[in-house]
Amino acid sequence: MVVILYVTFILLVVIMLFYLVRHYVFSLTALYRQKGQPNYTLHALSYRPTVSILIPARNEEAVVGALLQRITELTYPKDKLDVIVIDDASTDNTGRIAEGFAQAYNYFKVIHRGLNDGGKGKPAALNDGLKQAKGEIIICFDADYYPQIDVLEKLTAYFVDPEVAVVQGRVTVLNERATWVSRLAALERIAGYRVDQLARDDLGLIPQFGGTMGGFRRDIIEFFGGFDTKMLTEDTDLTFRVYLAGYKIRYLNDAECYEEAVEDWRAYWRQRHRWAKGHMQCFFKHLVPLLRSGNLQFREKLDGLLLLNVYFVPVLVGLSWLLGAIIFFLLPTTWLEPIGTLLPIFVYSSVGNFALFFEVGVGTYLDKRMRISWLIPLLLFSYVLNTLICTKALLDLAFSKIVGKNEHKWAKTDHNGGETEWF
Amino acid sequence: MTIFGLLFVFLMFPLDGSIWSKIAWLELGFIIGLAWSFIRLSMAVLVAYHFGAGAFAVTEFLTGPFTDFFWVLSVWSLGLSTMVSAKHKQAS
Repeated sequence: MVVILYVTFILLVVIMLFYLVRHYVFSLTALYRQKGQPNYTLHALSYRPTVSILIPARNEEAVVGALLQRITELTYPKDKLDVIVIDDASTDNTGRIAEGFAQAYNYFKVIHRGLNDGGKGKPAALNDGLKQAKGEIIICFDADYYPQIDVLEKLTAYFVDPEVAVVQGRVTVLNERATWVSRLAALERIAGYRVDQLARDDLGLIPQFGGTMGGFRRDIIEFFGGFDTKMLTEDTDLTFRVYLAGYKIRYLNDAECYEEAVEDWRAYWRQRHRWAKGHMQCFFKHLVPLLRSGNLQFREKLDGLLLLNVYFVPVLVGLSWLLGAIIFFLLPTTWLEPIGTLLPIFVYSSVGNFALFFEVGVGTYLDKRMRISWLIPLLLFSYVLNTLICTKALLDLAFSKIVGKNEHKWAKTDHNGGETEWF
Repeated sequence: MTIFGLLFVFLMFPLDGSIWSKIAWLELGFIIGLAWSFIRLSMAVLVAYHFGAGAFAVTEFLTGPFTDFFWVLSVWSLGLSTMVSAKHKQAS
């Protein structure tokens, strides 16, 4: 029993070390490497494929109008563009607002999903949109997004490469100043995109499709049979399906889009809980195919493994802390054993945990954001909260497996459009 | 404090910004770390004196990783903001 405890503890420490190295590698890559951003060729700059924009929207009357207006202002040739708004059984004015744009602009179309079919999550709504899409490239935007005016030119340029199946752009928080929660969410976004995604792209690893502010080839998603409606994170699912099929994803830091981040802890919990649960679903779905795949290099497999496991890490940190406590307090020890137990915990607590915050700090440094970096210590709170969120997500998923429940409720994030006056 | 020093030297010194500003932040970090250690030690002695060695071990185990980490992170992020400011000035 004691041996099992010690072996488990050492195994957990080794997993933590992998993530420690990963955070430092990503941060230092973003700081000092950056070889491939942006790398347009002349062909890419003039490449203009037909594009379909899909906008799934459920009760988004506060924000959808600003996005649709912005889409009319995009510089991409309108004869190569069609916009499909999927009104997902909204009970507010979302459908009517979208219809207004469809009447004014002939490249807009609205799909209304009824109360019986709609409201079952974004993947199902996107699948309905895909049936109507005509473009070679599909670009997705959430209703609360607000893209750069030339974002389509930037995103589609990478599709010149036939190996590239998905391109992901950068998401920046618009309502950063609204609350402390949105400020912390902004910090997380900065680290996630400015450092994590960028480093993955530079190192030839697995940049992740974020489900919005990104695009993919229509023929590939049709080949896959559309989005998997059972998945809560259809974006991560698509990421792995793409790599397992032998294609690549590119991240483009230069293509930016604003989003409305969550503004209170309840919304934060609901959103992250869905992300954690969906990511865990992807872990169980893709782990074995990933390890067996002949289409991926070793470094991609390793990165894919760490990416799939990422929402288990807070659970594992909690577990290693608990195991450390058991070994420290309950087992008979010599003078050396407490040091052996405590040393990795203390070293990891400072150097290892610091790696995560260093990544955030590097993001703020590269973005030249001075004042927001003062808030980095407060991320300790969301770090602890994420441990609870991920643990609950794992327990929920395990419970669903035990009772044989395959349908998971999609927790939609509400948006209030409080910052749209900036537009 | 050793860990803070190592992290600061290896991760902060290569960034843009005046070397004197970085040294000043490093020194300030050491002073804060020293003060923090005194406070922490005083608290530990208080807990051990009033509640016994068991309570001392529990509080040390529960709070140790967080308390040390918090000052390291706070000083580092404040120092980083001055480097950001230097980078911003350099860019403009």
